[in-house]
Amino acid sequence: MISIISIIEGLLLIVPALLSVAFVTIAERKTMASMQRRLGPNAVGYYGLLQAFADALKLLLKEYVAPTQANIILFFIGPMITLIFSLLGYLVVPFDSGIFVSDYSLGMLYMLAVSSLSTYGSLRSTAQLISYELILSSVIILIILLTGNLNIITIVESQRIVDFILPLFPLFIIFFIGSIAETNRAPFDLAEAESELVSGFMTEHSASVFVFFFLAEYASIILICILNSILFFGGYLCIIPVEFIIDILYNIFGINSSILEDIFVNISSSPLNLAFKTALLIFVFI
Amino acid sequence: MPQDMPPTGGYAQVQYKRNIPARGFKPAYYMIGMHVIMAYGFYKYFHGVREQRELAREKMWSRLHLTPLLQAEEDRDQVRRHYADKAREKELLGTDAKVYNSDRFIRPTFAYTPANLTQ
Repeated sequence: MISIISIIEGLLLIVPALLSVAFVTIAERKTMASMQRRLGPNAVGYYGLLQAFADALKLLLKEYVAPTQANIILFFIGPMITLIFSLLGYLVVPFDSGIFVSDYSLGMLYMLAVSSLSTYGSLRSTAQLISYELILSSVIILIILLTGNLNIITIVESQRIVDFILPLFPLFIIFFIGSIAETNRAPFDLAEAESELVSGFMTEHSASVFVFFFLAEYASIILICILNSILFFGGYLCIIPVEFIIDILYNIFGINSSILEDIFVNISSSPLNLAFKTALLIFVFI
Repeated sequence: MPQDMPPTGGYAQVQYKRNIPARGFKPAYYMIGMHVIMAYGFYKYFHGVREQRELAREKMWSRLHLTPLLQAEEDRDQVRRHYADKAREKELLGTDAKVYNSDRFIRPTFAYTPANLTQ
């Protein structure tokens, strides 16, 4: 019974993660299309919302091609490892106060380990990732210095007074640039080799193996955006300064209602806050 | 052959500075702004640290005040178990026989084993 519950827990985390990956791909394509004055995907489903599922279906039904000189086991295991490790990172993410899969006391260390394992690619990609991983870990060490704890929930809760973007403003910029480089996005996509190859290290993969790679890449983008919002924007904490509003209501209008305070306390931490912050960061990524 | 010399009066000025309108503030203002943001952030952060310390102190003291209560409860439990043990020994051995060969009180170790475990 307990094992079934833990399996359901895992599914409750993984399925929305994969769904959000699918919708992020559509969002990216739509945004890029609107930047380039195109329509983007608009045939499958309403407003092209089911395009990602159609793509996945097409890729899963396709025939896979493996190079003759390739080590076939490593060739198929590589993308799987990438996907599994980028999904493992979601394990320690707190979505709300009390909503998490694992309250791991070394969460930040785990996150670093998993995110560095999920990197895969050629020599060029590895060189880039090694150089930017250093920056990411140094910034994370500074945040650990401020919180004095490796637990991610403690890191979020210690931002109740002030989000770490204010005291560590330049570090946020550095961390964000580093995370863009870590996920091989637009200005740092030399691993993708736009001018020489089609899609860099993904060229040789096709069909379901390619799907794994694609999902892994976007899952790691979402994960690192979640990490950004946890470390610098206070994760699931409220965007609206609730205590400030309560103070204004009390001091200026003389309202001291416990019902109002209850409402404010309830909205002060919600998964929607994390979702909003992460969505904003993903939009900047695109 | 005469050497190729610069023209008399020197060369004309080379236009190296671009005359484009400056965009945005001066860089110094950006730096000052960044420092102001950081100063405000650290000011608030120190307040947060103080509040956390106060909360930790409060938690510690509440536990300290609770300690006698919890200790009394545990002592009561130990005594009850000790007498139950004695009674069991008496039932098994007949007389009030001692298991150990001394009068020294040895704090018994009891393991709580409930019949049906949850979780």
